[in-house]
Amino acid sequence: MKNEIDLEQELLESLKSLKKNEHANPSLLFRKNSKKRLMNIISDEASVENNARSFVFFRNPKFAFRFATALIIIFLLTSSGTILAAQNASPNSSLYPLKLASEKTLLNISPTFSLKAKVSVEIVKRRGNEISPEHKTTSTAEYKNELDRYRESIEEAKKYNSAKELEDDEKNLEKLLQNTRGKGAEEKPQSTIKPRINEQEVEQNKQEVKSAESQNTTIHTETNASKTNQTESVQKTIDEIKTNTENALQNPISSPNHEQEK
Amino acid sequence: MNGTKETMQALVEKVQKGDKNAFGEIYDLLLDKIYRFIFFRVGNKEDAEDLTENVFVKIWKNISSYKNKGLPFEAWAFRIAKNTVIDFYRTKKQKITLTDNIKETVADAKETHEELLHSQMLKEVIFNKMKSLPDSYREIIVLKFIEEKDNKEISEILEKPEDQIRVLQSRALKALKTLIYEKRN
Repeated sequence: MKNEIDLEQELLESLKSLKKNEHANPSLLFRKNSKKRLMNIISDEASVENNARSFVFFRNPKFAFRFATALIIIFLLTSSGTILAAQNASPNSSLYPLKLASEKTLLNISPTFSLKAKVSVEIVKRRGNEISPEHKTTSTAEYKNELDRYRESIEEAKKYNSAKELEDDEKNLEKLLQNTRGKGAEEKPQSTIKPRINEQEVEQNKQEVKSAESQNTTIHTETNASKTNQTESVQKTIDEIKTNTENALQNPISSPNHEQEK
Repeated sequence: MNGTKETMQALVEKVQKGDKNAFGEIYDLLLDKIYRFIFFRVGNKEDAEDLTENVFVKIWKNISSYKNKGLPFEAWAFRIAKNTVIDFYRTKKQKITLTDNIKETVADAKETHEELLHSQMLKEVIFNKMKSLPDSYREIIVLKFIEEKDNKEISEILEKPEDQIRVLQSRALKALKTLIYEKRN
């Protein structure tokens, strides 16, 4: 019969050994994936901060964050209202490519992990809401594109959010895909070429926006009179993006293989 | 132990000077400890993984503001973990139940079959009984008896005086013993 001291000793040794228990420690898969996600976040944030810190005014990272956030708000609420109007564009609208481009830019310039997480979740919800119910208003190919965009947005959001956050959307997507497989087996994707954004141009536009940000950084250190210049500069950049996007729509890329890849 | 602390401090200084890779090394050094601390508090793998990632993101975001004024970096990191778990409880607004059963699978060749069975069962009982303890007791048991931290470090993490830590750990252990040996009896 063990006495009190022996029992306590036994308990303490058992507690100590729990440290090595397999379930109490992170799995190899989690260890690897989690580190990768973390280092990606760090790389993203470091590059944004480095751009903002290139001027004395932005040595304070908190200020760099506030400026980037303000830029996102300015980007959305421009005097022309074009970008704002585009935010409600449906996939059939001519402004839809602008909507997609502005979302991508917003995600890229979001300075922190938490802001990227929020923006990416918002984008997922938008893609989900855009999906036409029961093929009523779109062709099969267009419906498939809607589902593809939804899937891609979920994949992107997974970089910044936990699986739980996106669980509902993944289930929704799976349900929609199952419905498609059930109903669309006899339908073949149409071969007509759908106008798509020229991705190189969008990338170029992104670079231009970043460059405009740098220019705005210089302007921001000047007096209030120069704020007009700042708004004009942003407006000019946005107008350029719009023009480029419209040009891209008028000159669709013919990529018949794109449909087959998916 | 001192060697590890010096290494940690050197890594923190590197990160603060802009060396991102040094943060990866900090992650490797702290991951297991932070994960275990959270796992024994929340009781399931999924929440433990999510919260652990959140903790490291917070550590990264705030590392530039860390200053070694007598508070070791590891203790500072554990404080972040502690507060993250508290926020999690507030969000979930539920009593955390430990749902995973720990089953020991590694056999120690020195133990007889009976001793091994006994120690396996005891670990399961301990793990399952911990869910019945108040969170403050679970917290101290993990830090003191599983992670084997000294009272000074625990007092820095929990921001409580050392004598209070001693009292708390004594009560926690007694409470756990009572639960276990009542069950066994």
